[in-house]
Amino acid sequence: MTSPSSAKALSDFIDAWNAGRRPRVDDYLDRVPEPERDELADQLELWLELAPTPDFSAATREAIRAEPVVARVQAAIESDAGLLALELPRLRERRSLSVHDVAVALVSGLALASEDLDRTEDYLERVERGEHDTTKLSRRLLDALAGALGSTTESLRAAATLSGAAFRPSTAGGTLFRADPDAGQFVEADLDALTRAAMAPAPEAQDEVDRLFCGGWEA
Amino acid sequence: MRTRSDPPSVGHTDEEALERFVACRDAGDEDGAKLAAKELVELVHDRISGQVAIAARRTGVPQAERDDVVQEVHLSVIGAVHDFRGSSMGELHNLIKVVAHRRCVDQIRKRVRQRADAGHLDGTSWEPGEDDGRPHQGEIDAAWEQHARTEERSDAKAFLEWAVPQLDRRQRVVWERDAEGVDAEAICVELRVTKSNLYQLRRRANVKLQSLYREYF
Repeated sequence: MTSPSSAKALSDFIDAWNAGRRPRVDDYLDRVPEPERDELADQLELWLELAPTPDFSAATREAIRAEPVVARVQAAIESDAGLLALELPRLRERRSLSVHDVAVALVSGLALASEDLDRTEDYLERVERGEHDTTKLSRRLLDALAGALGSTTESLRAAATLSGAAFRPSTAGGTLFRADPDAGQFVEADLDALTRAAMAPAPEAQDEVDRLFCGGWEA
Repeated sequence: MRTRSDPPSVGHTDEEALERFVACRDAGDEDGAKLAAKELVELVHDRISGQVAIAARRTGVPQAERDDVVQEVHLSVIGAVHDFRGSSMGELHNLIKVVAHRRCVDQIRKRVRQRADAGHLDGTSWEPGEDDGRPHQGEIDAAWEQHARTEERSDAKAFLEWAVPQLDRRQRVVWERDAEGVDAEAICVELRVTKSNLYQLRRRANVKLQSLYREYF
């Protein structure tokens, strides 16, 4: 039999939720005796799944925006640098690690050569500056990074794929032709450029560090 | 019917933000899609935090790690919204609950792995869950499997359309008014009941809905 305090806790939570007062689940669970907490948790869970959006005031919305998690996710949506550029320093600092420390952990964890340390560190710095396309990071790298930073591969991958660029409309596939009067000149110039590119020496093959940072998920 | 004494609301719901996002996305409006996505993040944040708090208590994720889980659930929601082809926000509300639990289980698994690695490295034979009150691996797997079975549950709106008419009249009124955001005093006046009667009606409505929920899915 549920006590009146449990029924009141549920009721008060619902009232506070609907009024936009941002009730915290823990506060309400702590109000009831331990044996009743599981049942109240079940009821709050159902409410949270089915409840309407709370009636937030502008000030409350401002307070929500100021919460660190919300601020980070919103900043990542706005920025092409993406969430991982914000996450790496945060996770590093939480473990009191420098970029160099993380690079050392990666070189060790991924069995890289010791001379790869500087380039690994350089790649990490570029990721943190938002200068590296984090969607190209490999699973092996994120596994090792997660181990070094006390995170999970899935979490880092999710952060690596969230950026403003993800909201950009994808370009249409296929080739679009237009009958411009001077199209012939453009095609000729393009062919010249392609010919020069074909004759140029091939770029150096990616080494292991490049593959880890630029080779894509399966590299 | 709303009787609010609080400052004026901003007046947006997560459902409206989702609709705006989908419209902007489909129209190729990048700025509009970003704006709607950011608004959605704000509007679902407390729902996510609440579901994570419940899942964290059940799985034993410590307070200090909850923010990480909350962020991961936000990312899952954005990922889902990005490809959203569903019919209502109810699907995302269900996703939030399922992902919150999954991420908490992942968090515990991570701790189990780290403890096991540490035990392996220092020569001790620590077994996950044996000495610190945390769940055993088997319990973690069982909890995960249980939620995996509900993974495909989707639309809370469809559930409510089916379930709410099965509540008795007063419970139904309480549930509907709560869902409309009507405050407790106004519901008491409408039903001519005391506050403590209202508490019991709410609880019974919730218990009945929980039972119907299990039957429905």
